[in-house]
Amino acid sequence: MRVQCDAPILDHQQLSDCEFEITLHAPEVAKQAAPGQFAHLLLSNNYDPLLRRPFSVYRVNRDEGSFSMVYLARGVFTQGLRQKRVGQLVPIVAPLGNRFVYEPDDDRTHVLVAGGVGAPPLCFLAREMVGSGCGGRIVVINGARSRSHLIGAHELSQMPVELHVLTDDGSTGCKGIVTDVLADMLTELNPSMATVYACGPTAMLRAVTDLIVPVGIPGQVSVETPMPCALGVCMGCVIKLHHAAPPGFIYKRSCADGPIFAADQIIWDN
Amino acid sequence: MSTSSVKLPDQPPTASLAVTLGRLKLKNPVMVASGTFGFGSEYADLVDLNRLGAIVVKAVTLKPRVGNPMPRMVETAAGCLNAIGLQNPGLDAFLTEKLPYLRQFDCPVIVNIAADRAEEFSALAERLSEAEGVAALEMNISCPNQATGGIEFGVDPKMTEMVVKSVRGKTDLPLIVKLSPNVTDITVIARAAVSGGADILSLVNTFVGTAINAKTRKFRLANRTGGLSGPAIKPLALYMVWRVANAVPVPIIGMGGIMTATDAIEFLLAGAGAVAIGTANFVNPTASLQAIDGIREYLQEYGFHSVTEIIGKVSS
Ligand SMILES: Cc1cc2nc3c(=O)[nH]c(=O)nc-3n(C[C@H](O)[C@H](O)[C@H](O)COP(=O)(O)OP(=O)(O)OC[C@H]3O[C@@H](n4cnc5c(N)ncnc54)[C@H](O)[C@@H]3O)c2cc1C
Ligand SMILES: Cc1cc2nc3c(=O)[nH]c(=O)nc-3n(C[C@H](O)[C@H](O)[C@H](O)COP(=O)(O)O)c2cc1C
Ligand code: FES
Repeated sequence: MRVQCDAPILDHQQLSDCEFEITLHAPEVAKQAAPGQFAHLLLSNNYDPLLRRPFSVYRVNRDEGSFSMVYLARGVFTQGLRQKRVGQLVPIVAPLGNRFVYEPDDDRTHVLVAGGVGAPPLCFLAREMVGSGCGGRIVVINGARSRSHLIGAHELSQMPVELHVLTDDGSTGCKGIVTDVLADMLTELNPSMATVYACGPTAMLRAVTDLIVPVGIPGQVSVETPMPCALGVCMGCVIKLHHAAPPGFIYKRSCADGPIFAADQIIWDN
Repeated sequence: MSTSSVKLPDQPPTASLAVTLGRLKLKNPVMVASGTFGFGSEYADLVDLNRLGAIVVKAVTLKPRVGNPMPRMVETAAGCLNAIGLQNPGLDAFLTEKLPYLRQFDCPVIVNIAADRAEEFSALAERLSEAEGVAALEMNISCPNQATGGIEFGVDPKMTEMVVKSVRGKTDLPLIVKLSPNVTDITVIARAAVSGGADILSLVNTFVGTAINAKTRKFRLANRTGGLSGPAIKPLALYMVWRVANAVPVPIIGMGGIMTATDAIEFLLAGAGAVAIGTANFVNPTASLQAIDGIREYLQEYGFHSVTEIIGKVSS
């Protein structure tokens, strides 16, 4: 069940030039949160900015009753968030949204495609898959603009997963983009025995679905839209999905029906 | 140990929050505004719906509406613009799926209705009047009227009176008419709505606005324009409530940028008999409950016995 509370900051670390990990004490959230779910954070009570922002759960520590998120300080909200100190309270509503699902199966290949600040929920997923002994082959393709924008690569490199690291500028890993690696892998994947999980910028998600849907590989795609309420009431976060009845599509709420949708259901508009 | 014989220190009796808007009786003056609280179920694990003065549901149209393309909402300074396009499941789904759920709560359900033809408004009113568990209807007259090529019903006094009259003839339920603020003189439209048969007026709906991205040189909303809500509109809304309250004899439901109990109290002082919390529900899901508690504390603090004692009591 969702909770609304003011969660104290237990830890706030700078990971790179503009990336931060913030850890909050919220036992109910730590207990329930699953990979792909998010928290809705409020920065301040003085309406600047007015609305909450969603951030994916990156790590949970059930013993400590805490969970963390990783964010890129880029705009008004995240620049404000980085000013917060340990001990201060952050109003949250969490956990929200649906989760990535996987079948434990020794013969299955799981391909996790993470772009930039889309990596946190997939790191959480990889950690859970490995920890639960789900079996099969786990491939993680982790890409970012540059070395300082890469999230989770160090931890992933210590896990029993096949890791591909890419940066646009080649500052670490291979120079290139995540879909280059995915495209190369496609021929070796058996569509009925593979699943792709993706989170990242919309252009990347679109490129991933363009690769996997035509060959019939199922995908779970975590979309990013503005989320004014994240409670399922404002209809300001919708995503267009295929629908049998006229007019041939339906708008679903990414906060309450998502943020994870089946790749073959999504209609990407220009 | 029994405490019944112990004399408690002097404490004022709990102030009454009950209000009466014509035939509509509410246990407190705080409702939640249409479009910001879904159909109630979305909030039920965070908010005790039994505590609310009333729930005004998302606009219901005769047929389902898919809504506008994205982006539909953008944040602006202390506010947000929305162009949702009335996405809703339609009247049939409302009656079979949403209303039965709401009936289980001890909270009046007000159904916000929207249409682009007067006949559709009448049909909605007729069918909702037969349904069990509807406390009142709220007409959203900020909708484009197809018969006039898309001019909003609510910007013209003649159209307002005509469309209200057509609904009045079809329902015995208390009829709330929700006014658009996008007019030169809102009191003219308010009087027209009352002449048409409105029992109660609610105001304001959102202010038409737009937002442009200088970098891309594009409108930020796919629909180009949207309705502004949130704290940014509060002074404008408060002014309109005060003017309308002094222009018509019917009760007023005030809204527009109410975030806190103090904001709500200001609307009551301006002449609103009740208030509705809108965008604040997004920022703080329990804003409505905090407003109820805050109003009660205010009444105790200043020694009022009933919230009705402060309605319209602003002075220079
Ligand atoms: C389900 C979900 C999970 C998310 N998880 C994370 C996360 O783990 N870490 C993280 O850093 N961010 C995450 N985000 C994005 C985050 O919510 C904020 O939008 C982002 O941090 C920018 O906020 P800001 O106020 O700092 O920037 P702003 O000042 O709001 O904007 C900076 C720039 O980004 C654009 N922008 C803002 N919000 C959005 C949006 N939602 N979609 C597209 N463009 C936008 C603005 O137009 C502007 O150009 C997530 C979003 C969603 C929907
Ligand atoms: C996302 C959103 C959807 C809305 N939908 C409706 C609606 O369906 N019918 C209606 O009459 N008003 C609708 N409104 C207007 C609100 O009920 C309210 O009149 C307005 O937002 C001003 O109050 P606020 O500033 O407290 O939000 C909507 C407002 C928002 C923000
Ligand atoms: S963010 Fe409001 S419905 Fe999804």
